[in-house]
Amino acid sequence: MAGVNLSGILYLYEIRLKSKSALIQESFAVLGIAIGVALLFASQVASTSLTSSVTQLDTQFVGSAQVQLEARGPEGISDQLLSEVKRQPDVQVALPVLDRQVNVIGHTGERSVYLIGVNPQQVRASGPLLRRFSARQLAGQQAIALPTPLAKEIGVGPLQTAKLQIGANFIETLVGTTLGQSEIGELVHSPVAVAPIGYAQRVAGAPGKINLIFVRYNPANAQVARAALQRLAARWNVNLVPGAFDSQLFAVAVAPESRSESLFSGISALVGFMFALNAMLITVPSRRALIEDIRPQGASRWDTAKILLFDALVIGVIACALGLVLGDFLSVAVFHGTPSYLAVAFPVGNNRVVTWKCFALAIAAGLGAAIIGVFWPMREILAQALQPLSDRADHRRAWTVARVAVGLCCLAFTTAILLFDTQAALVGNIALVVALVVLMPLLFDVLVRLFEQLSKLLDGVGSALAVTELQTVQTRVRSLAIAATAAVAVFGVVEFQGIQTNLENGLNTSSRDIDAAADLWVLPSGRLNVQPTTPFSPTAVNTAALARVPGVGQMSVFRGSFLDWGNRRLWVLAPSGSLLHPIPSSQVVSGDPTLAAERVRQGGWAVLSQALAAEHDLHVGQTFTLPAPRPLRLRVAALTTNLGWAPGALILSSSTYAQAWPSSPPTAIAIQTSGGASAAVVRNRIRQAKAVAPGLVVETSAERDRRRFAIAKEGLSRLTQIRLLVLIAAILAVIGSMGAMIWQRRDLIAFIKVQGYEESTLRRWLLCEAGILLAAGCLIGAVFGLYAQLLGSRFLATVTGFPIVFNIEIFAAITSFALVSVIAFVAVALPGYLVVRVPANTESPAY
Amino acid sequence: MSRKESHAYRLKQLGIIGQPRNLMPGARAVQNASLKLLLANVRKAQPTIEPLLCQLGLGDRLQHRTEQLSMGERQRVLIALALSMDPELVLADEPTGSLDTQRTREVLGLLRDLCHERQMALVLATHDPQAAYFADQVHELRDGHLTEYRPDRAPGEPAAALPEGA
Repeated sequence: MAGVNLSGILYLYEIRLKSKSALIQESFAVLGIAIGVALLFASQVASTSLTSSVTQLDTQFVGSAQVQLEARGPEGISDQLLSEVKRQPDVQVALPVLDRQVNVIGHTGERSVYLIGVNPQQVRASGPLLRRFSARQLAGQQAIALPTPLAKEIGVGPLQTAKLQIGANFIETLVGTTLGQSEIGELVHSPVAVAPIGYAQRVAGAPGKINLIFVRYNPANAQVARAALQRLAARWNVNLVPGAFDSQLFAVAVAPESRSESLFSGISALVGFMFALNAMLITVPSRRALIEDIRPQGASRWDTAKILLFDALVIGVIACALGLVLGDFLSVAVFHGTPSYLAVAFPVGNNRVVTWKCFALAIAAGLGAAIIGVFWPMREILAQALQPLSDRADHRRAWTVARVAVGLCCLAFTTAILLFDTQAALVGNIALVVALVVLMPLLFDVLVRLFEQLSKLLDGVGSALAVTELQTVQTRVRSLAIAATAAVAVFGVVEFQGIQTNLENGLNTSSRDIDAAADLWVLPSGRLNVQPTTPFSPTAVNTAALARVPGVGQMSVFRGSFLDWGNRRLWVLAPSGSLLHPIPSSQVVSGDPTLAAERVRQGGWAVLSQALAAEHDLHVGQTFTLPAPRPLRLRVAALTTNLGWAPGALILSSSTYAQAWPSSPPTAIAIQTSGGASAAVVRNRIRQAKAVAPGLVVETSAERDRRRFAIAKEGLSRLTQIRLLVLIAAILAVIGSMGAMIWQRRDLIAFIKVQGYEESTLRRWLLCEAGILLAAGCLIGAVFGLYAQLLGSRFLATVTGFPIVFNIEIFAAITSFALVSVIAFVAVALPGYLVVRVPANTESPAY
Repeated sequence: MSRKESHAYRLKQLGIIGQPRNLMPGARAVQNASLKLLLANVRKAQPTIEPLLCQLGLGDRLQHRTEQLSMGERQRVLIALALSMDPELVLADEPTGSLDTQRTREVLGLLRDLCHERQMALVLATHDPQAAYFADQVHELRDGHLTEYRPDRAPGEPAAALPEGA
């Protein structure tokens, strides 16, 4: 066989595929890789979409503007600033915008959207979103435009009316038009409502006010223009920030979620890859037979490699195509959700953003698995002529020693990260997975040996046969691959379930502590208004009538908003000094909670999130200037967690807030009950007394706590989805490869039956083997997963500042262990049952 | 015979010597040979089979895996497996099919000696004429009929079928 060419390779491939069993095996391998690719692609799309949806809206909205002047408070700034900006010599375009978070209520539902008011005459300077909108529909209308899917969701159409809820007020508005994909592209999934600025100012009750001015200046004179704008910004107490600044702020807000999702995606990738690799191992015997056939016929190693490479590419390419289609479906069906807690402060859309990186990663993993799956088990046969037998044995020993050394180094590295630098937890996690994979053979052997000792005590034939089979070289690669798949899956699930539980417990404690400051809360309705940051007119509450309601004790004003400070959109909480617990003491990480509460009540002091303080190098007792609409010198009373808001939080008293944010309306009324009345009873009495406007809701602290926690949990829902998907994929991977492994034993079982073995004994053997494999893999994964929980929880606590309750979730480990083991075990019982029914026979070779 | 009786018969009264390729891949010689004994007593299986393997000349190959054994050695492992339960009848299907002349003689000699020693009947099916020298009785299976064995019969010469009960 001198130099096989492409037509020769094709011929060989064609004749092999004529065998039905070869075709089935190759198809199974394709399916296995496709599922791995799908899992990876879907999880990548999920994590990319969240960040990209905000970036996309931002860039589409901003267009060619280089900078923006941004108001520091929700009340905005006077549009007189616009005239001053336009007067600057190098400013080419200045586009004023008013944006407000409002509820748009249709006939069948409501959605929280960003109402964007723009000047119809100037929108040509903006990005594609407003350009298209202006040209066709905007000019002159006293109406809003909604993206078509959003309009459909709430049950309104063009030229129909909808209600806008702004604060406590409801305003009827006309939906002038709906915007489809052809008009605003992917932004069709963004939560926006666009209106002429005059109309937006009117409905928002903010005449002459704007929030932003997008500015395009002469690039040739950029420095001069920026300096002039900087001076203006300082004089007007507004921020001069890059045009697409929201993307930067969002990146900080979404960082914990992005990082967690990256980690989850990484684990998914690993499980997907192992699934694919497992599937490829099914085809090993037939490929080994092929090599043994063609090598004696004169095929060189290079010829053999070419034939194998062709096999791998065919499987890889078909599987990638199938996997991408399946992954696309998964990303739509499973990962299609928006974490509401971020939508409170950012225009988070639910559009699916698929970047080239998602494709590249999924295809690379698919092809990589196919190539490795084809070549790895054949490496010794391919290298046979190059190495004498003794050298190979030495090589194997050296390889084992190297693997153990790498594994121990990785473990030591992870421990060092855990002890000294939790910020590098992502790297630590990768090191831990590497340690798990490289130490797997050693740990697996130890566990099989232990079971061997145990089986000697048990005296069982099934267990003795299972141990014999697990120790054979032929099945070792497959056994290790199955155990490693189970291990990595259980590792991922245990780690993330533990972190998630710790995080949820922390969030729960935090929100309960914040809400427990008062017995009852009055605030604008709207599912997302949990912080609360939506201002309302003080006249919406009839305080005299409220005070007359039996059981209503002390009432105080609560103010809150978001403030951009550096790259962080902070949550500002301003409880009244009269509240018993103005700061959530369980969240204080530095400083004395009682003293801090007293200082906040006095005024002039603030409590900061630890991460924010670290960014500005602030410690308890130090002074800083808060970049509020009216900048204010404050001292740090204490440091807290981020109170569940990733960019961080700041607590000051309501009166101090009023100094920094002049003319700021309340965002909630906190009520203490009196006379031992229960909060729920008093809440009902307030509702009956109609002491508050219809746009406001009255909630007990427990109700608010539940609502806040439910929304905070939504931020973690995607993690749950990925975790479940990893678990399902792992179970499928294990079932598929174990089923195939059992099925390939038909000939051996037929021979053993000849020796007088009963079917029940053979069944016990197969189940015992499956049990050992799964138990060993899951146990190793669970132990490593618990270690990773510790690392991950500390990482989230120190890097993101989230409130976390530290616990080692043994229960999570046990449930994941049991779930994967039991489901896979039960599922492999069927092929096990079928395969032992093969007639006794000595004819066919086992392999 | 019920299924249970059939299993018991195969286990205790019948020994089958198959092809060397039938051995469990990757398993050690002692593990392969003690496959039947496992069903009788797991703990004693390997110690029981070891003397027989030694008798078969595999004393220094007990812990070798299937792939590390030569075809002759694998065949001897199969003989040990078939004889391990002291069956009344041993069936051997082409036991020397993949062995060279020297190995064939060794294996057949061993089989004959062991069967005599253990009072077992051996039915051996083979295409190898030299096997006849090791047998007490030889019959020829020709065109589906059992005939008298005549090594000097010319090709194409009709053979007389054995009488009923022979």
